[in-house]
Formats: sequence, C-alpha cells, structure tokens
Amino acid sequence: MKKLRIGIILLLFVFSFFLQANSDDITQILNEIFSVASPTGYEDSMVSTIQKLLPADLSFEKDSLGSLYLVLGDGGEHLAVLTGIDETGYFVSGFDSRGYLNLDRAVSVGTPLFDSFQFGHPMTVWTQAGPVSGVLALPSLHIISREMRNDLQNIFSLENALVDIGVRSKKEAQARGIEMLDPVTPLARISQLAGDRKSGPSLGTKVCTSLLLDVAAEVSLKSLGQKTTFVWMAQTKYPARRSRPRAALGAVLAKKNLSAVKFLIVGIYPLDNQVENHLSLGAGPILVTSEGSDSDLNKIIVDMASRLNIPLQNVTNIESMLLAPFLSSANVSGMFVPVKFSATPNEVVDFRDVRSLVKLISSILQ
Amino acid sequence: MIRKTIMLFLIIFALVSCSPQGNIDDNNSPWSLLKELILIPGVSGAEEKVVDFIQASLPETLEVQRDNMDNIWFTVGEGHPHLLFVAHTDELGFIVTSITPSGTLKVRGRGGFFPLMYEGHSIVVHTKDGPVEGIVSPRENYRQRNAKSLDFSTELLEIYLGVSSKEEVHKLGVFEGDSITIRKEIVELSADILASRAVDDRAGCAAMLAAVFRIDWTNIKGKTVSFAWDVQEEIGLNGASRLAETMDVDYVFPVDTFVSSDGPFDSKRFAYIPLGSGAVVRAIDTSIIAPQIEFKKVMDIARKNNIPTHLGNTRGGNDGSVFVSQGTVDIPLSWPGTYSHSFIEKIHRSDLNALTDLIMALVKDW
Repeated sequence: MKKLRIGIILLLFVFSFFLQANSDDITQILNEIFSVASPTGYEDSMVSTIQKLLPADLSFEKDSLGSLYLVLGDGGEHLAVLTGIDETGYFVSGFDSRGYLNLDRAVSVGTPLFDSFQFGHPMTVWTQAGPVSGVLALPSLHIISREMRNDLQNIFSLENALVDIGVRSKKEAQARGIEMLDPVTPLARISQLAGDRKSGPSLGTKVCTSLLLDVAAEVSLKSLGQKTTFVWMAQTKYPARRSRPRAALGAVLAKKNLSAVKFLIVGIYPLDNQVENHLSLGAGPILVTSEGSDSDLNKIIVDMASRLNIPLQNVTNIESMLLAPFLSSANVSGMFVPVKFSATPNEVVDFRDVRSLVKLISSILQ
Repeated sequence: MIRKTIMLFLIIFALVSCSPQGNIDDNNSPWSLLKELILIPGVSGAEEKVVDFIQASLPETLEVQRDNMDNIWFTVGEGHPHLLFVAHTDELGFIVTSITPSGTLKVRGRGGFFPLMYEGHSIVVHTKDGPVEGIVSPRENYRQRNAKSLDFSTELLEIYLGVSSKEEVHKLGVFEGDSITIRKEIVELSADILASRAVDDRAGCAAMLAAVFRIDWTNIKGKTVSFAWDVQEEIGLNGASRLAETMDVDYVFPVDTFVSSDGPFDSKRFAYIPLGSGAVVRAIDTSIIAPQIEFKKVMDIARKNNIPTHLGNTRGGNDGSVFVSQGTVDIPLSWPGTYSHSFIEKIHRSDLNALTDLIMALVKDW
C-alpha cells in the first residue's frame, strides 16, 4: 500500500513536471520568435527561425510566396494544419533629405488608428547588415503650434510618419545600411499581465506561429496515424486579386498546393470586433463553424475537447480572409485564439487558451 | 621622422584633452548616470526612489539635507555670492484615482503630455509590493471607421491589467494613489544619441551629479554653493517653491531641458539649436527673461573654459523662476532636446558633457 502511494506521488510529480515542461515550451518558443520581424512580404527571417527551432532531420518545402511546408506521418486521410505568420508592419519608402525615413505599408489594418499608435515610440529597421534602432518622430509639446496641437489626431498618420535614426542626411542613413524597402516594425516587447495573460505588438500572430511550432515539434517525435502537413503561411494579410469573398493570398496558394482532404486553420479572433458579447479571454479556444456545415473535423475537435476537459467557445459564419479559400472544402475547421485589443501595440492573449489549443491539436493529430 | 611622430602624438593628445568628453568617461560619467536615472520611476509626488539614488550616490563628506517633500540639497562654502544649482527629479505619468468594478484603473495625469501617445501602450503601476504591468486601453471604438472622431483625453483613459474585478486588482497590490509610468525603453540611436522617457530632467540630475564627483569641494572660497535636486516641477514647481521659502540665494541655475526645434515638425523660427552643438543658456522661456549682463557672464566663463555653449529662447517654465521675485537672478542651463514630454526625448552625449563642464566651470569661476 505504501509503495503504491509513493508510486502515485511519483507519477503525479512526473505528470506535473511534464505539464510544466509543456507550458514552458510555448512560452520559450514565443520568446525565441517574438522579436523576429515578419511583416507581410518579409517573412524569410521567420521561416528560417521556424526551421531552426524544429528537429534538424526534418525536411521542408517552400512555395513561391515563401510559405513553409512540413510533411509528417504517412497514410490515412491527409490533414493540413495551417496558420499565417505575417504581422502588420512597414517598409522604408523613401529618404527625407534631413535623414528621416518615410514609411509605407502594403496591407490594410484592423483599425484606422494603427499608424497613430506608433507615433513617439521606438521602431526597428531591419537592414541586411542587422537591425537599426529608430523612433517615430512627433512634435515637441512645448513649441508645437496651436493649429498642429488641435489637429494632432490627423497629424499622427502615415502621411507624416518619419523615422528618426539619429542621422542628418540620406547619405548617413544609407551608411547605416538602410536601403529602400527595408522592413520596419514597432519595437517587439512582451508585457506580462495578471494571471496567464501577455501582451505585445502582433502577439496574436506570433502566438499562432509558436503554437504550430510547438505542436509540430511534439508530434514529429511520434508516429502519426495520418499524413499531416503543417503550413506556416506567408502573405496572409494581403488579399488575393479578384477573390470573392476576400481571401488571403498566402492561403489561396497553400490551398492550391495541398492535396489534403481536411484543413485545420489556426488563427486569431479579435474580441473587440464581436457584435455578440459572449466570447472572452481565458474561456477556451474558439471553434469557428459555418451554419449548416457538417464537418467531421469539427466533430472530432468537439469530442476531443470534451474528453480532455478543454472548454471551447463557438462562433459561426465569420468573415476571415484566412478561412475563405478553404470554405469550399467539406472538411474544414477554424480554431482561433481569442485576442483582446487586436491590431494595437498590445494584443492581449490568455495563455490558458493557447495551451488548451496546443493540447487539443496535438491530441487530435496523435 | 621622430619629430613628426612626436608632433602627431601631441596633436592627438591635445585633441583628446580639449574634447568636452575627454575628462568624463568613467562609470560616473553623465551619460552612464543618465541611463541609470532614466529607468528609476519618479512620477511627480512619488520621486522617493530617484531621490534615494541621488542621495546614496553623493559623497559622504557632503552634508546632505532632505525635507518632507523629498527635496535634497547640500551647501558648501560661505559668504556671497550664494549660487544654487537645481534639477528636478520628477517625471510625467499618472496617479491611480479609482478602480472600476470591472477591474480597470481610472487615473489623473501628472504633468503635460499628449494623451494620444499612451493609447494602447504598456505602462507600469508602481505599487508598494513592486511593479505591475498594464496597458492603456485603446478607445472603445478603435476598430471602427470613425475612431478618429473621438477625442482621446486623460479623463477617458483606462488602464487594463488583465483582470476583471476590483478585488483582483487589490490582489495584485494595486491601490488608489499608486503612480504609473510608461514602460520605459532607452533607444540608442547611435553611440552618442539616445531617446527615452524622463530625459527631462534626469539629464539635469545626471549632469549635476557628475559635476559633484569632479568638483574639489575643499576649494570653494569666497562664495557659497548649493546643489539641490527637487520634486514636483512638472505639476507647478512645487519643490522649488519650498526651496525658495527656505534658501536665500543670489543666483539660481536651474538645470533642465532646452526644448529645441531640431525636430522634423518644429518651426525653426525660434529655439533652433541642433543636438550635438553643446550646452545652452536658456535665456528666455515662458517663465523668465534672464538679465543680459548675467547670461553674458555665463557665456564668458564658457568661452574661457572652451565649453561649446549657445544662447537661446524657447518655451516652458523653470524651477528658478520661483526665486526671481525675492531678488534672485535666474539663469537656466540646458542641453538641446527634441520631442519634449514624450517617450522618445532625444539627447546627444556631447551636449550633456558640455553641460556638466559648464556647471563645474561656473562653480569654479563665478
């Protein structure tokens, strides 16, 4: 009896250690990738980082947009698990004669205030020679003209976005290694909020990237019952031309390249967008369903969540550029991470939702 | 050949020793002190930690006094003239005024700033148990097309900590009266230029502290010299007012920012002293007009000591102005700074060194 008790205690200890190790994995991966810049069209560094973080013996493929494909397992019905890896960012669109950098961005953003949020804050220019620190200039409070002060909200726009890197001429800026079209992103820093919540710029996307990495790393060590393709998609914030409904370019191409019959799309769900108020942070991953659809994958997800005691939140019929290319398939599921303050400098994610989703997807794949 | 080598060596030696940075490159350099001081929180009315740091740094041989507001000072020498150098320790931020039932914080601003700069950004609540991270919630309609039509004022501002009730806020150790700063970042734009919050007036504090280490206090003859670091400048020169009640001085040299128009949005009609050009005598600002004969004397001493120094006029008040009505001559000393009262207040190392040299020269030669 005593031996049994010791055995149970030991088992519990090992089990809790395993849970701990797992929970640390996702945070560790996030920390590794968080400061890697990945604005739409500039995902190369992120793709390289993903490859480096996965076992060296795995083989990868890339498509013409730079999306990364990893095939694991063999046989059975082919499943694809996909997520977007591009964040909203800028690129250098010109050099001011005084040494400031002009900015532009290629994608539309979730809020008209996205550019306004960046004024007076640090930015990083990603050059071939390495990162260059800058700040987004703003007027000085004490000497600003009355007209400008009264119109500050409109002054804080992309039209007036000038990155100050501490030089006085175009020549000096170029001597720092800066070239036209170099990507520019807000300074990447994670804030630790109460409980298990973290925040940071583009945290939602970085979490999805990490989440898929975590799952792929875990299942790559095991034998899978079915062929599974993981796809970290580039250019998902950029719409494919002539797509109706609007579909993410990276997702359209991935769909075309994949021979899978089931698609599990991992993305973010902006809570600030909701008309209904029933979704919240920490209440579990969000399962997106289409009204009237009868996806087997949805049933598997719901069953598995119930077996694992993972709470799920549900939404139906959302507009998602990420999901759009797959909606014609019979077997498609969207599993989204709830995100508060999306498209702001501090997207908030509850890591209980993230860990639940890692556990759920890993279990389904195994 | 030998003569040429010796000449070259002598030229290099002369250049190095003439440079304003030449004699200031140890751990107590103004630049390294500035970087340390910036990161210490000290919102107006809650400057204790900054004052503690300065007090602990001062040589034990100096007799330091501290009043119940947290102003500190020391005085050396006797007779007239009595010179007072003063920098302020406080910075802009917020004080928690109430906690809502849904667990967010309502705040009151301390000092003048554009509230827009805070929207969506990370802050730190300084509690008695330590720092607690949070976010300034974006305006409620931030994702909507008409988001820019709403005025984002301090009254509307709310802090999100990641919890949803007042009880949870208290569990984090956050209470009414706690102070809040932005989560600070020192952005090094080059080896000699940085941008950060609280350069105003930690640069003044650093210059005075660095001067303290370099002045031979046993050699102050025929005059009295006081150095003070005061509080609550940003909310009405309150600390300086208290000092003015208790100190009878002939000259006051407030050491604070010269808000320069060396930024891309600023009119160059006035206040144009480029960063990197030296110290500044802020002869005219919003609170005083320094007597010509006196600021010319400062310029003469600067010239005699080979310290690059400029004369200028700008906006903003200074701590010395509260002494003027009692017959004290107020001559503000500065460095040129851009992006005033923002999170990216920009400063050049050589200007801070010149300012430190100027303080030392005035103590010696006035």
